[in-house]
Amino acid sequence: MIKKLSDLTDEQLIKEFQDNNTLEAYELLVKRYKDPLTNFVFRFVGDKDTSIDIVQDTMIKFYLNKDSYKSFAKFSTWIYTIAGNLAKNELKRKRRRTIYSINQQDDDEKTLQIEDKKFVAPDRSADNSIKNEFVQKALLKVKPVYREVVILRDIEGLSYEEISEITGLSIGTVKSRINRGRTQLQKLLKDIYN
Amino acid sequence: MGKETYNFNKEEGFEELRQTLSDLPRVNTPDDFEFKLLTRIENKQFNIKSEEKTVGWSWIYAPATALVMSAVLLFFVFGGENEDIGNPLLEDPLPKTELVGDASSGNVNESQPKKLLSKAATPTEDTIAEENYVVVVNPNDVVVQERVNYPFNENSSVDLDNVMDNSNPSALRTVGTAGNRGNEEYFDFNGFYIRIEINNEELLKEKARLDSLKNWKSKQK
Repeated sequence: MIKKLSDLTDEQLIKEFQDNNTLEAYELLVKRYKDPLTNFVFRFVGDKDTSIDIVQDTMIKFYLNKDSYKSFAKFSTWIYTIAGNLAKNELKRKRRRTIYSINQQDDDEKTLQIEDKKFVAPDRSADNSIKNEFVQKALLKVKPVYREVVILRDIEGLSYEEISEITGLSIGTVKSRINRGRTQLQKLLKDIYN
Repeated sequence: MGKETYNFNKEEGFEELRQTLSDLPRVNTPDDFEFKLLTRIENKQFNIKSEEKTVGWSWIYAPATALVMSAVLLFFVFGGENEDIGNPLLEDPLPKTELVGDASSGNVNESQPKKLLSKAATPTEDTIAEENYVVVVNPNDVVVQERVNYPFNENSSVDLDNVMDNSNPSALRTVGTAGNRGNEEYFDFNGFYIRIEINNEELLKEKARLDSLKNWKSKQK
């Protein structure tokens, strides 16, 4: 009995796309990963439009370089690696623009962005909304090397092994970076816990 | 006293933080995300924004650039003056006699270049160009101009044709380099050379003769 495409695992879908160039398999993978990737990239770069562009570029790279995926790796780690690398490139570009910008804005103003209109309560004084903005701002102040692993672990809920594969670091380094990132973040957020 | 070790596996101490992070609202893609993506793929718009290289004038704002520019500016403002060399625009010109000496008494100022004396008689660039080329008919009937290297220094030689035609009688007198070396007078003169006049009529005749010879030879075969 032939399985429906939607019943296939990620790895089976990409194999189908690689072998038969089945666009439906590609579309299914895009549907499965577009939201988790957008959330990850948004928390990393702090700008919704930029994060959507990065995820678009990730999917384009996936389309163009489908054959560079090797079946021994998990598809999720492969696609997260692409998105993470593009997000880091974007951060570097942003930093260059900031250094050479004549009209430098206040850093706080730049990083503060409302993530999604449907999550912002009409009443701006609502506790959760303010808290979320505060957490996002604090997250963007954590060093990118720590920020990436903290987001992957505590927001995306990936395992240490998966994070190790995505970042190309040893599991020990991943754990240590997560710990340092959390410590930095906790210091920045101490006001909301007190 | 026990050795303090870090246990990175422990998640204690961060429960509240981890809870806060996991409670953050999810950010999702807009509804037209897939439509835009598939349109890009269909139109083969594969340019990746974050990988595009920025054409930079941004380096102009770099502190190093400012430093270099300041140094160059300061050099031109303060470092360009040399007291040994006066500004020629602000000085009076030297009298002509000092430059060329007294020509009537035959005393030539040795410190000045002697070319000033013979400048009028030396051939111009045009005449040199004309005299140094001869027309040659190659075996394949191609007519070319070839440069002839005369064994004489043109400034100290005489074109006999020119003198005999009397078109420039002063050439014989003025050509060469005269001067005083201490008490001795000297005059550098290499010799004569004869210019070959280019006569187009003769050239065509010669070409016709060669052609007829070729024709005759081919008929003989």
